[in-house]
Parts: sequence; structure tokens; C-alpha cells
Amino acid sequence: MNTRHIAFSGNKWEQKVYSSHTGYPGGFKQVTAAQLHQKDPVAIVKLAIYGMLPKNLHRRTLMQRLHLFPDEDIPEDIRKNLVEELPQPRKVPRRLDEYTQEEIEAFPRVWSPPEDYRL
Amino acid sequence: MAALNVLVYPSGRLLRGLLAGPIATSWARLPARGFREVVEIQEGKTTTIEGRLTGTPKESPNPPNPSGQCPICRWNLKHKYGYEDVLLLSQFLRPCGGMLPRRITGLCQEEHRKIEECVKMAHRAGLFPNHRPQLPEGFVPKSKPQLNRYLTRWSPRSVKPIYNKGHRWNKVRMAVGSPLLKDNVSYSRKPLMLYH
Repeated sequence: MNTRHIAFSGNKWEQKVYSSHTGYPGGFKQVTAAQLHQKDPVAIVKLAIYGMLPKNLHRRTLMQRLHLFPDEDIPEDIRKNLVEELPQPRKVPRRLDEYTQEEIEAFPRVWSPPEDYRL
Repeated sequence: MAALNVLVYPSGRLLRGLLAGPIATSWARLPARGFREVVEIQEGKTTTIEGRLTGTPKESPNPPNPSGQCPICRWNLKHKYGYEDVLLLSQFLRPCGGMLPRRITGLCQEEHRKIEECVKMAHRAGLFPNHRPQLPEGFVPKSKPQLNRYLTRWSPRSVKPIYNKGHRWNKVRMAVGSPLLKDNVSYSRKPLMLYH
């Protein structure tokens, strides 16, 4: 669900390259992760899961049972069948404006600037 | 200017007397100013724009280790912060997003470099939405696709795609995080992977 908001660590958006060959001569296509995400937001997660499954004939059937959606809108019949929600694998860091003013004040100031310093 | 004066007036006393006059005051530091905020007041036809002095924030009292040289040693934070500790990193930032110089903040060289690297990673992760550079008037930035990223070592514009990943014994790895933060305390058993 909402695979559009996937995050990559490091510079993988620019460095990671997904390659494929159409089978025809001169058909070797290499696409960066950013370009692929633009064309099809679901593809990155799909390829990641495809690579993690055991490499046997079951893989295709398991992929047929997987449904991925770029945004929050999911068809009703799938939404009714949802059993569990996976927890976030990594803690999402909070932005500076997501901290309340009390938390910002409670955090100690670590240094004091000289009196005559202008920013 | 000073060289010419030395040549023309060789005697030391005269020099000092002359130098103490106009040159010293022009090189003297600018009058002391603290942090100010700009306030615009409209009174009918006249608009008054004045800068009011806001209090300079002071270091919180009772640091855990008062004998430390830099703020991080004093507060026992040496290997304990990362790119996501925005509350700590924002204390060393200018409002436009740049870092403050080391001679002002009082950090040691390695800590200054670590904090600089964490600030860069936090900017690339979008954790400082209000510390943006001031754009010239009437400039509307082009809308770029918003990609979520974290622990980016290099600037996104400077990195080239890895078209040839290399053989099994010679892979081209992708860099994640920063080698400066290698000694950070890790509370999980997994080792820190700097190259994926």
C-alpha cells in the first residue's frame, strides 16, 4: 500500500539501476530507480519482493497473490479481507516543525554564542 | 597602507601614534550587536521598520561534564547522535540552513565535521523544512519529484547511476551514511553497514 512514499537510504535513488532486456537486439534497457519510480511507483517494491522469494516455480504464483497499490485507495473487497498491518521496519525521523514548542524548550542548549555575534 | 606608513615613518613611536589614530578605529570590530528580529509597524502613512534585540540564547546550566572543551564533550554526547537528532543539530544552524563556524560554536574539529555531515544528511532527508535559503524576489522554483531519502552521503545531483555493478569479487557498492559516524553507539546487535 502507498508504495509512492518509499524511502531509499544513501544515494540509491540515483545509483541503483534496474536493467531488463526485451529479447530483441539492441533492447537492453537500464533505468535508474528514480526514473522507474516516476514511470511506475509499484515496480520497485514488486522487484524487491520478487528478488527475495525463493527462485523456483512457486515465485510466479506467489507474486500473483501479491497486490500493491501506489496510494491509499484500495478496492473494497481487498480492504475487507485485510487481516494485519505490518509495523514500520525503521523509525521515521521527525522533522523540526513536528516537535512541539515544549519539547524544543525542554531540550538543553548546548553552547552559548558570544554577545556580539551577528548571524 | 600599513606597509607604506612603515616606510615613510621609520621611528617606532611615531608609527604607533599614527596607527593608533584613524586606522585602528576603522579596523576595530563593528559595534556589538546581538540577535535581532525585524518588526514592521504601519502607522497611517508612515511605516517604521525597526530591528528589536531578541535575547541571545544561553547555554543551559549544569552540563554533566563541565571539564569538557567542546559542547559535545561537556554534555556527554560524543558518539550518541545521528542525522535524526534535529533538536541538537538545529542549534548549530543559521536560519538559511548553513553551519556556524567552529570558532564561534567552540566545537572540536572532528565533532564539527561530524555535525556538518549529519546536518547535510538531515537537509537531504527534508528534516529542516524552514531552514531554506532565501530566494530572490519573484522566483518560483520548479517542482521536482519528491523522493524520500535518508542517510545520503553524496549530493543527489552529483551521483551517477551504477550501470556496471561488477562481478561477484569486484562489486561497486553504494555508500550509505558516513564513515565519520562509524564509532557511534549501537544498541542493536547488527553491525553498521556503510556500503550496501
